[in-house]
Amino acid sequence: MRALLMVMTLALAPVVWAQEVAPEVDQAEVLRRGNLVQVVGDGTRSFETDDFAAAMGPPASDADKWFISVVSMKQCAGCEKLKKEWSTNPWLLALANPSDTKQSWAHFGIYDKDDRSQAFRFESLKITTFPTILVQPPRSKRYGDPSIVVFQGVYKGDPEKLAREITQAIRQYIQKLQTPVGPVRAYEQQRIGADPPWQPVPKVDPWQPTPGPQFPTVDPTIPPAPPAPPTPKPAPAPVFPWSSVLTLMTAGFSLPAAVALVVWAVYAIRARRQAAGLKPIVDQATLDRVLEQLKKLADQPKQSTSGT
Amino acid sequence: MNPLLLLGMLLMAANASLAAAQDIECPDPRLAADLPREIRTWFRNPDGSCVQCSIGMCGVDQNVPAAATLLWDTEYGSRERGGSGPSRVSAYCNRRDIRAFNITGASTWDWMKWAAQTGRGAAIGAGSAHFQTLMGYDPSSGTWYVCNNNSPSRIDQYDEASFRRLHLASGQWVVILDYPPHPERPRYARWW
Repeated sequence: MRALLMVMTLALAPVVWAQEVAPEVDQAEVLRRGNLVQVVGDGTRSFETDDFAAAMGPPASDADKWFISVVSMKQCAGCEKLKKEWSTNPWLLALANPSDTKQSWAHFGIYDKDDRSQAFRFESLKITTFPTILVQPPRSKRYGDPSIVVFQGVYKGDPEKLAREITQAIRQYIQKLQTPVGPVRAYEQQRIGADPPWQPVPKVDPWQPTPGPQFPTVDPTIPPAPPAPPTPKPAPAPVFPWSSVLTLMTAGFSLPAAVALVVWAVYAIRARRQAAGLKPIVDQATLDRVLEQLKKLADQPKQSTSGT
Repeated sequence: MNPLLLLGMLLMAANASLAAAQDIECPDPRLAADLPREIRTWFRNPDGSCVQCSIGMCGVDQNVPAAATLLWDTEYGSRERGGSGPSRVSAYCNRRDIRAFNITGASTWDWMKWAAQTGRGAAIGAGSAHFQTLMGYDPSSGTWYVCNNNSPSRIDQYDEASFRRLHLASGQWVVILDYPPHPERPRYARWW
């Protein structure tokens, strides 16, 4: 019986050990990569995709971790909500795990805007709404200057959206990277008291949120959203030249009337193709030149055939 | 001997431990820690609390208020003043929930290099029965950057040999906060 128990223990041990050591699927990396098709092995390769995929993978060392900083303030419901979400939401945990700094993909820090001991860090930034999230490249300089703000955004209550915005900004940044792109009071020795020379951030914000708008309406996001593509305006349909038709019917063939009909036909075809989203048969410059020639032809006075 | 010559030689000997005396100030790419002079002076050693001064500087650098406020009475705990050994550091770190590597012995060199390489400062034994803050290490020139809490407005520079003497003079003991390093001071650059 004892031998059987020992055999069972030995048989189960690797299973238990494996469960404790590492997850079988790195779901966090899956979330970080988002919608991505990476062609691996032989064949056509997209280096931009490879570089982004490498950046979203486990960092090679502590110095290769990206930086995610949250600038918050006291009595800010959105800030509190974000702090809570960042300890529970899988999308945000995939980017940074505040309770497991070693396993965390990025270095994560929360800064209080009123903390005088940290204010110097953000002096050159414009931060007007809270919480503001900042993303910077790793210290190793593998992804360029670590001081550059790759992403600056405001949390609006949707953790997945925030996580996707961050990874999208990193992806754009890596893509671009491939193509070259108040005075603090001194602490005097004579006046050493029991109070610190600055007001440290409180351990717990004692503020109780009151119902109301939790999230700011301003959106100073970096990188700014690309301008929406211009929606094609429907070209006005050219008016049918009834007068030219009447002229042709009543007075017989007339060159100006015929030219007017041809011009109408050209414009009508062009407008129809544009409306259907098709490329015009000739470009605008060529069309202008042809129309100029036709106009000259129509304006030409009739040459006399009789000799003198 | 000419007294002036003697004076000159004495001054040279006194400065021999410091490497080429060019001023260095934060932020600088050669420095791992980023602490402006004004903030460093908050941690001027008041009463033989060099260990807490050194850890406090690292606390500000890594944004760990429980460590940054060691010298004072705050909601994070009562002030810790006076001399310390590794066991006292362990005790107050446990009390205040400060995660730290409390390292003694032969591996301190590697730990100091690791801290500097990853953008962290370190509270280190430096000088006879004294603690200072390691601000950085430049492997290319073999220069160590150290801020002494008795003269916090400047950052001292040591070559390998003199830094070795400095560290050994106090016994091999290093405290490194187990928190992420600070990000570099962010700035806008139109990369998009």
